[in-house]
Amino acid sequence: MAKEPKEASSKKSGSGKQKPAVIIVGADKGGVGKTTVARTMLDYFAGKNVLTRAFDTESPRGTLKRFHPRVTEVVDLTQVADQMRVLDTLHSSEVKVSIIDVRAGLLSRTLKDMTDVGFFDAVENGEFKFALFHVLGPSVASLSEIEDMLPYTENAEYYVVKNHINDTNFFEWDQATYDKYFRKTRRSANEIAIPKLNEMAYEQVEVAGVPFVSFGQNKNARNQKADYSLVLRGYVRTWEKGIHEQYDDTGLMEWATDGSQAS
Amino acid sequence: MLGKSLAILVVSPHEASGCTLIARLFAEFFRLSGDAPILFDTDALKPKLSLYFPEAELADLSKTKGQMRLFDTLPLRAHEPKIVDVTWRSFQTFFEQMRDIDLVAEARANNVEPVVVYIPHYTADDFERGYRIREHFGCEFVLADNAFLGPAPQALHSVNSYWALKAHPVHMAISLLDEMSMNLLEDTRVSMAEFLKASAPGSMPVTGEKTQLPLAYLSLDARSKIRAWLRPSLREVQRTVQLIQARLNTPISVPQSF
Repeated sequence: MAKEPKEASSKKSGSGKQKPAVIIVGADKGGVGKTTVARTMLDYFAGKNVLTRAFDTESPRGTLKRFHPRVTEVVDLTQVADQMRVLDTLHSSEVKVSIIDVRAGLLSRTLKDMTDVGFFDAVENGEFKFALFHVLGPSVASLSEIEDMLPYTENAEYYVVKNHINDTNFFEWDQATYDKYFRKTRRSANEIAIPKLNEMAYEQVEVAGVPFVSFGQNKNARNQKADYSLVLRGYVRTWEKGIHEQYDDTGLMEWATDGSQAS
Repeated sequence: MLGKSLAILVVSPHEASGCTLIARLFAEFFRLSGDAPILFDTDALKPKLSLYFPEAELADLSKTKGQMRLFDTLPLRAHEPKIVDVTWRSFQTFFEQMRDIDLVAEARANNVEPVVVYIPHYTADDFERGYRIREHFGCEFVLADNAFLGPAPQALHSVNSYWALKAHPVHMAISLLDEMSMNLLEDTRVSMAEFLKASAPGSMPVTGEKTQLPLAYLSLDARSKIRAWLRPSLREVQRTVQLIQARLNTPISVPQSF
C-alpha cells in the first residue's frame, strides 16, 4: 500500500527522552488560513523526518484531515473524551510533535479549556513544550487578539503569523499597536509571513487534495505519479520552501526536537 | 528524430540582439530538414517570431496561463524539436520561472534536453550573466556570436566570464549581411526556407509564377547576396545542432546541403 510521504514512514525522532511538543495553530477570526499554516508545518516536519501527528478540530468536516489523512484525527476539543485523546496521550505516544489546528473562533475557548485541564501547569513544570502559531488577519481587530493570547504564552514559543495567501496586504496593520502588546509584557514573538501563493496553483492543490509537498513532487493521494502542471508545481514548491526557511530561521526544528535533529 | 529531443531556448538580455533572427534560423533549419518544430514566441507585447510562423504559440509569461502554455509543453517528450524565442522583454521572467520549476530536471526526465542559445552584447554584464546561466542550469549552452553586434572591445579582455565563455566548447557565429538585405529578410512575408528553395540554381520560376516567390522582385545580384549569407548561416545552425546532438550521444540529424 502506498505511503504518504515520510509522515508515516519515519522513525527517527519518535523515541528517546524528547519532551512532547504541542503546537496550536489558531485564530479567533475565521478565514485567515490556519489550516494552510498547519499543512505547511506538517510538510515541514515530514521533510525533516520528524514524526508528527495532527488534530483537526474542524469537526466533523476536517479540512486538515483531507490533505493529511494518515496523520490527522478529527477531534472536538470541547469534549472531555477528545481532550483526553489528545492530551493524555502526549507522554505515551511515540510521536512527540502534535499539531492542533483549532477551528475558527475557538482559539480563546480552546486555550481556556486547556488551562482548566492543567495543560499550562504541565508546561510550566516542564512536562511538555508548547508553541502557539497565532494566525492574524489583516484587520486591527485581529491585532487585538494578541493581548488575549499573551497570558498563555509565558512559558511557550509564540509565533505571530501574517498570512498573505489571499493577497491581503495587511492594510490596517499598525506596527505601533502591534509593538504595544509586547511592550507591556516585555516579550517578543517570532514572526512568520506566509506569502501569497499563485491562485491557480492554490486552487489546483485544493482540487488534488494532497499535501503541498506531494503536489510539488507530482504525486497524487496514493503517492503515485500525477499529472499536475509543472508551472503550478513550481509555484507551490517555491512558496513552501520560503515558508520552511522561515521556520528554520526561527529555530522551530530545534525547539520541537530538543535540538536532537539539526535542521 | 530518435533519442533526445531538443528544446532550443534562444535568449538575449537586450533588444536588437538578433534573437528572433537566430530563432528563425533554427526553425527554418529544422523545417528544411523535414521536421516540424514546435515554436514559441514569448514576446506578448511585440510578437515577432509568430509573425514569421503563424503556427508559433504566443506565450505571455506575465500570465499564469501563458507560463503553463510554454513550460508545461517544453519538457514533454516529442519527436519534434522545440524552439523558443526569449526576447529581452521576457528574459528575466523566463529564467526565474525556469529556475523555480526546475525545468531542466523535468525535461531531462522526459528525454528532452534544454539548449540555451545565448546572445550577449559585448559587455561585461552580459558575459557575467551568460556565465551564471550556464553554471546555474547546467544544461547544454551555446554562445552565439552575432557579427551584427560588432567586435568585442578590448575592455572585455580583463573580464573572467568573457574568457570562460570564449572557452566554451559550443559556439555559433552569425556573419554580417548588409543592412538593406537584412531589412528585406526581415519582411514577415519572407520564408527563408522558401527563398532558399526558390533561389537555388535551376529552380527559376516559370513565367507568371514570379510574383508568388519570396523576394522575387529583387535583382539576381541582390538575391545572390542574401543567399550567400543564408546558406552558411543555416549550415552554421546545422553544425551547432549536430555538435549538441553528438555531445548528448543522440542520433545526428540527417545532414542537409544548403
